[in-house]
Amino acid sequence: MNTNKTPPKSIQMNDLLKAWVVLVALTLLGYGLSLFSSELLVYVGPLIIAALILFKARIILTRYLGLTRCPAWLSMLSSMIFALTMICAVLLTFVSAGGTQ
Amino acid sequence: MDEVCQKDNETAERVYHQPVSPWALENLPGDPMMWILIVSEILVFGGALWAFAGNELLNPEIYREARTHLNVPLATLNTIILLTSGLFAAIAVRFAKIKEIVKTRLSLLGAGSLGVVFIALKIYEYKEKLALGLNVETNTFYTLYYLVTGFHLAHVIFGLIILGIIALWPTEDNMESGTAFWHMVDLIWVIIFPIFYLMGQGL
Repeated sequence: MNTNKTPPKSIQMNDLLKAWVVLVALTLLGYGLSLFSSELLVYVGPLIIAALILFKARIILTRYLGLTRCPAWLSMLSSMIFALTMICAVLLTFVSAGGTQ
Repeated sequence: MDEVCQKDNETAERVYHQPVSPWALENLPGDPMMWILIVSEILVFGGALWAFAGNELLNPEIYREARTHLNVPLATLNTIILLTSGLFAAIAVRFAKIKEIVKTRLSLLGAGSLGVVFIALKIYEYKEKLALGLNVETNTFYTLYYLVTGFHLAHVIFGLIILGIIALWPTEDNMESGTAFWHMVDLIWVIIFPIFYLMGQGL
């Protein structure tokens, strides 16, 4: 009788699950912020949302896509997303603050 | 024996000292061409989002009124669905690396099913808008809304086809390339959703 058993293959999922929990929490935080209306949020709200986008994008790039082993590509994609969201946030803040009137 | 050890040491030393460019394409997960595509897609969507934000400078009243018809809770739910789908895709790659083919395919099925739910909810959202008479010609806000979200939806459909193909041939390389596309779809939505639905609402 063969008593040699191959050990069951196992994989680590904790990092992926933690990333998912943080992504969902940040999404809900963004939604929660959109429910509030305050004078201060007119000025800083789009910038907070832009920061949330960047944070979520970094999590997707590092955890889901595994770009930690290619730091240059990670920096390039993060910079592109930073530029994209910050310009949108600044334009929308300018409009919300009545800059077009 | 000593010769073999010496040879191994030489090889190890050569690899250790070999300068590797941080831009080296071979370090990227999956096919390098997929990453060229991902960069170009971010640029294309980025251009459309800048057009959207820039257009608000010209039509602030139209944008303010148009935003009141957006279904933010439904879009938030759709974001969570797509993020969960991304989780399943990432899990599928882990299973593929240890050659657990059945579990890989089941994870891909989970990712694909959530992708289908995303499409269904998006179509429901479009129907809701069309019932209110808000179509692609209503104003610039809705022209860009349908253009950007519709183009993203086309990517979700294409991503589902890719997930189906890699489920048939779940090699590690195929899995990394295919799921990279799916995560890109996820990433783009994570940018589109707040810019269209959240910024400029109360914020």
